Amino acid sequence: MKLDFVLNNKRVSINVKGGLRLIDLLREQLDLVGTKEGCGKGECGACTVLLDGKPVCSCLILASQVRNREVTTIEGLSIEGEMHPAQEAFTETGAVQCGFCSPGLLLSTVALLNENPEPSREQIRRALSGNLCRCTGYEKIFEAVELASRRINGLSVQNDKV
Amino acid sequence: MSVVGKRVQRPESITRVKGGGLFADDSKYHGMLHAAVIRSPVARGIIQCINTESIIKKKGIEGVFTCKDIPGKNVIPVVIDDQPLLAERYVNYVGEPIAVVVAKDRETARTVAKNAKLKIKELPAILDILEARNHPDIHIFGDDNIFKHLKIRRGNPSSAFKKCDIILENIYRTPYQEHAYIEPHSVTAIPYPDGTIEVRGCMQCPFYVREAVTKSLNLPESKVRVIQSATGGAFGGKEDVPSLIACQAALPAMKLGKPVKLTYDRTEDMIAMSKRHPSWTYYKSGVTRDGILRAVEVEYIIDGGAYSTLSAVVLFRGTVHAVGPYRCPNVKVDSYAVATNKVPCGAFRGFGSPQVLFAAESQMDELANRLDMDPVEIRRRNLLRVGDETITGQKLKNSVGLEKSLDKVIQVSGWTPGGCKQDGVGYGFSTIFYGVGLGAGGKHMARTGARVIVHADGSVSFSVGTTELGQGMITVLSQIVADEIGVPLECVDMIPTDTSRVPDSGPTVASRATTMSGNALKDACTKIRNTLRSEASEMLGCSLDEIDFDNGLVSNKGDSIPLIEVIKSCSFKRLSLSAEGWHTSPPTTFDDKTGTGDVYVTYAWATNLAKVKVDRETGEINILKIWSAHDVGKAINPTLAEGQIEGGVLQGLGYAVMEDMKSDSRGAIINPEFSTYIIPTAQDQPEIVPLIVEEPYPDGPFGAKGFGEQPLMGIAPAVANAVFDAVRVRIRELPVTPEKVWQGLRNK
Amino acid sequence: MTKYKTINPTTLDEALETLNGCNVMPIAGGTDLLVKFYEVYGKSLPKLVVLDGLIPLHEIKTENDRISLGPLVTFSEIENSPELRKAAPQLVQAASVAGSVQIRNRATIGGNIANGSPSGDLIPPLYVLNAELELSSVNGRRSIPIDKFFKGPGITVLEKNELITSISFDKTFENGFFLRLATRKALAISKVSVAANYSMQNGTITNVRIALGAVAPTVIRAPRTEEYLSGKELNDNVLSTAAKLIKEEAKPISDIRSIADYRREMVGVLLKRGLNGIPQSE
Ligand SMILES: Cc1cc2nc3c(=O)[nH]c(=O)nc-3n(C[C@H](O)[C@H](O)[C@H](O)COP(=O)(O)OP(=O)(O)OC[C@H]3O[C@@H](n4cnc5c(N)ncnc54)[C@H](O)[C@@H]3O)c2cc1C
Ligand code: FES
Ligand code: FES
Repeated sequence: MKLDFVLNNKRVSINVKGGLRLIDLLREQLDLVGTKEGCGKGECGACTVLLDGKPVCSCLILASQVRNREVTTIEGLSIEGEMHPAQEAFTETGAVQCGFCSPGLLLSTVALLNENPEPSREQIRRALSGNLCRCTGYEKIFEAVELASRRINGLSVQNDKV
Repeated sequence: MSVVGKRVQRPESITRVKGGGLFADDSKYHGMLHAAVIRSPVARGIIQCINTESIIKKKGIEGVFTCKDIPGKNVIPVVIDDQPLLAERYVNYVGEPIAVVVAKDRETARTVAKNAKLKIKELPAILDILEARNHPDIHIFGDDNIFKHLKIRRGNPSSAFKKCDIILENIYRTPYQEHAYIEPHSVTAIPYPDGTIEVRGCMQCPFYVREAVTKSLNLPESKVRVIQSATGGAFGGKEDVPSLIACQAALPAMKLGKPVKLTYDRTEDMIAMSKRHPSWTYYKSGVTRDGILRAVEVEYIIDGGAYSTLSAVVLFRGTVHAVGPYRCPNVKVDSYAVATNKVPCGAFRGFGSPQVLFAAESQMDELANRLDMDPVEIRRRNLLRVGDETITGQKLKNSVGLEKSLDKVIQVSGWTPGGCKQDGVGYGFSTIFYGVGLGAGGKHMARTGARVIVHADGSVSFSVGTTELGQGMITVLSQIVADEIGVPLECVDMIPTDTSRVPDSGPTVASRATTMSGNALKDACTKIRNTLRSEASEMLGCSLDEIDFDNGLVSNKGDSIPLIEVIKSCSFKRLSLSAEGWHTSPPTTFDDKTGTGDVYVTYAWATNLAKVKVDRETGEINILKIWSAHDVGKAINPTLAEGQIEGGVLQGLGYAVMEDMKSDSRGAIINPEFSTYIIPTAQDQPEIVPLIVEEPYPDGPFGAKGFGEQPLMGIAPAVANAVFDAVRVRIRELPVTPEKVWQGLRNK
Repeated sequence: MTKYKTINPTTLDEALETLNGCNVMPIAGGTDLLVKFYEVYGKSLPKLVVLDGLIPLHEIKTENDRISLGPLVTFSEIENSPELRKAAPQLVQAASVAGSVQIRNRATIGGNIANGSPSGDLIPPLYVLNAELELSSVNGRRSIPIDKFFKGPGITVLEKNELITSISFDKTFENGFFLRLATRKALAISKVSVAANYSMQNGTITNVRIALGAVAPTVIRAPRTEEYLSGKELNDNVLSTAAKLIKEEAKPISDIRSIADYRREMVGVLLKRGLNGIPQSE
């Protein structure tokens, strides 16, 4: 079956088997291994990608369901090697411990900041509650989202802990 | 400029935020096959038939392997060699591996493994620890089902209890805790034409894996090379079990001569991988009216599951920590690790101590309550200080920051005795301690190696035998190397941990990576620095001891030259700037008969304070805030230390209020997935205030001592104590769920 | 991996035609269906009819005082619909506490209903809104009130070849709430939930409809409590009696998420809180 969709801003036209999950298309067929599988059941969010800008679990979508739609993966966040402010903020605040959850959390973060550039703590919590992280206790992740938000909005950024 | 003590960024995080394919399941190899494991559906039984012929005929299947195919010993070496790699005649728990199937693709391998027909005669199983201990007929281990019995005898508890004014006796229970690392287990074994097997996977202890692979495949250590992939969380859950998984991949890889990858799915991972031991504790403690702890008697039983794995060592730590961080002259502890027909339990952050500390610290709080004394005062009257002896008779010579941690929490939280009395709001304390390193329970492993190479261009690479698990070891060790050699941090790179690069360095457990590898690296760096120093003294024309290394410069009074010039000059003269370092920890002792000894090289200390609000109608517990102060000796990177505290506290909170893994009456786990085994989400996280106290440990690198496990350990009792403070309901069985609190409120 | 075969129809007729074949099954958001992905290894799998391409089934339509939702409307779309926020507050509240962002972006109302779980969060609100379901197949259409749709956990009156094609109800400008207790604050399945719809005039409550989730084999109404409350002035006494009554109407069980006694008691607590205007605790 032929599948056309937009992946990280590029048109893709590829032959896939009908029942393939999006995550398998990405990891196995397209070698985009930044998208992680932690549970395969929608519970951990490690497989989060953006579908038309909205976070979804790529383990619960069939490849054929993204036909003619736009998919963004972690590999699509940096533009020409230049990291997204959220990626920079994650490394700066110490939001990455083992890093297995980071790609998914970053996509949820980017979707949140696109929709709401100045989210409150409560809004951040809610937006990230579909991404489990077992290492960090989330605190440094929240700090990263806030730092990225300030950067995006051109506010002065002081990482007072540096 | 020195970087030790600074909040430098983690060098490896850049690749990780870009989604770089560093994890075990991210790599493919030419001709790679996929394995899956056929497992026992019953808790105890006799294998009558595995029809391998019918399996092998299935489309896409490349091979199926049972215990008969193992060329070496069919054993996973841990402490006692009782666990087979693949079951022989008996199976002893639901999920026990029986055979490995290999196929061209993962789906086929998994499908065939799940649907494989086995003939197993089911036998009666024992699932309960109290029943299992000394069971007359069913023998899972030895003739009493006891993997290990440890004891501590100190003073004379029975006569001391007679002099106590208040004595409390209670039973405490704790359930399994699942590590719930987000990356499920994955490993690939790659055979080479010269007979070498390379194993790449997520793991804590590459040297354990090497031992298991060499033994089961009957290969010399020089022919097995184990390399750690980026590891997506471990917490103890990737300590001993990767040995099993690696062998499940290495056996077919060797037989078929092709790379074999084995990745578990989440449910399989939760069913078959190790967990925190469930426990049962009888706790009796007595105080005199002045609040002084006079005597403690503990019987502590942990559920080891079907095989001994690390249970004896886990039990050791629990036993030594049984009284909490207090002076107590009269102590009797009897502890048992018991065999049952369930999944083998293993290492988990805290290693046998969170269970017994839940009992000890709940009990301390109840004693305070009965004495009408505040929970801080009773702790102050008993806590360990320099010069005191622990219950094993170990005299504490230095680095005891317990009271400082208590003071810090009180100062930052503003807590006062009997302070705020808002309805349903409560505060709960716990003060705890943690024996750093393997201690006398694993002293044969208390050594580690490291190698440092300064390249001609001034860049530095180093190798160690311990592993990065997300805790920040690479960063901390890079900071140490940068400072020791005198180069900027950007010039330092760690080579992924690889058993062919350094001598056996023991495991990455027990919060030992910083101290052990840090010291070994310092040793290696000192050797290199000596070469640099003598070269510099020639270049500067001064004596050796007049030379300073700082900020990329080598100087003597006013004179200075860039360090890189010295390095170049050494290289030009063909002087070696590569060195191996080695570190062994000071001796530790434990006398099995009396339970006395200097059991750990040093201890870390902590105080936690939980503030909760309990809903009187629903029993729901809203955790408002946690203050958690830790004496870490020296925080080599405060951001990382805080990260350890925040992560550990939340894991501890999960253990305290929601995480609960259950098995059914036939020994099968009923909630092996994230929808039913629930861990805290971003919305469940309360405000966490990480606090760092520094009482330097003289033998640690820059005074540091390991503490990565400690943040989890005291959270459950702090929360249970806070719930009691809030609504006067005492929960002695974890987790503290709304249902239990509600029942408690109703029964009042 | 080649788990399922899929068919991607672009019109409803085409979809219904395909569904009329054997061993086929519709897939909407996939958040219930694909969770079973790993459990169905080696089984003979149905072909999946991907509904995504049926554009009209994604719409929220208002005609006069009647709102109809296409079955493919997602939880996120419900959560963010200003129209529904006014017209069906309990439905919006339920949609916004369920799952996570990722799940709400995919999970559909049609899937929630067709899945037939007693803890499906949109179902109690639909009960108290007296929703009508339109079911279509190659043989035609039929309409059925929501409370006649479920027969047991996971069991419904839906025929193999039928699709839910619309969910409709009258706009309510009355009061309503949805409250639930779950095992954690996000990403959790309800232990117990209560939805209600009612009018208040001068402190008197009328037109009361109450539905309970996760305390019986299907979502249920609480007729005796409704009857008791009807025409009463809300005060502490009335609320306590109502809470007692409703406990007797619940028929909960103990399972991995909670215990029966607790669930029964909490039905009363949630009812009281809802009527007192206490919001969902987060
Ligand atoms: C992590 C996670 C958290 C969740 N949390 C919640 C929660 O808090 N509350 C809650 O209620 N649910 C929850 N769910 C369950 C699920 O998201 C919902 O039930 C959802 O509404 C299902 O819709 P779907 O479109 O994804 O259904 P699908 O999975 O596509 O389909 C489910 C079933 O319905 C059938 N079906 C779908 N559409 C139609 C139609 N139009 N006509 C006929 N049959 C149809 C399918 O054939 C299938 O049998 C959760 C799920 C996950 C994975
Ligand atoms: S892998 Fe998709 S949510 Fe866990
Ligand atoms: S950093 Fe390890 S799971 Fe989040």
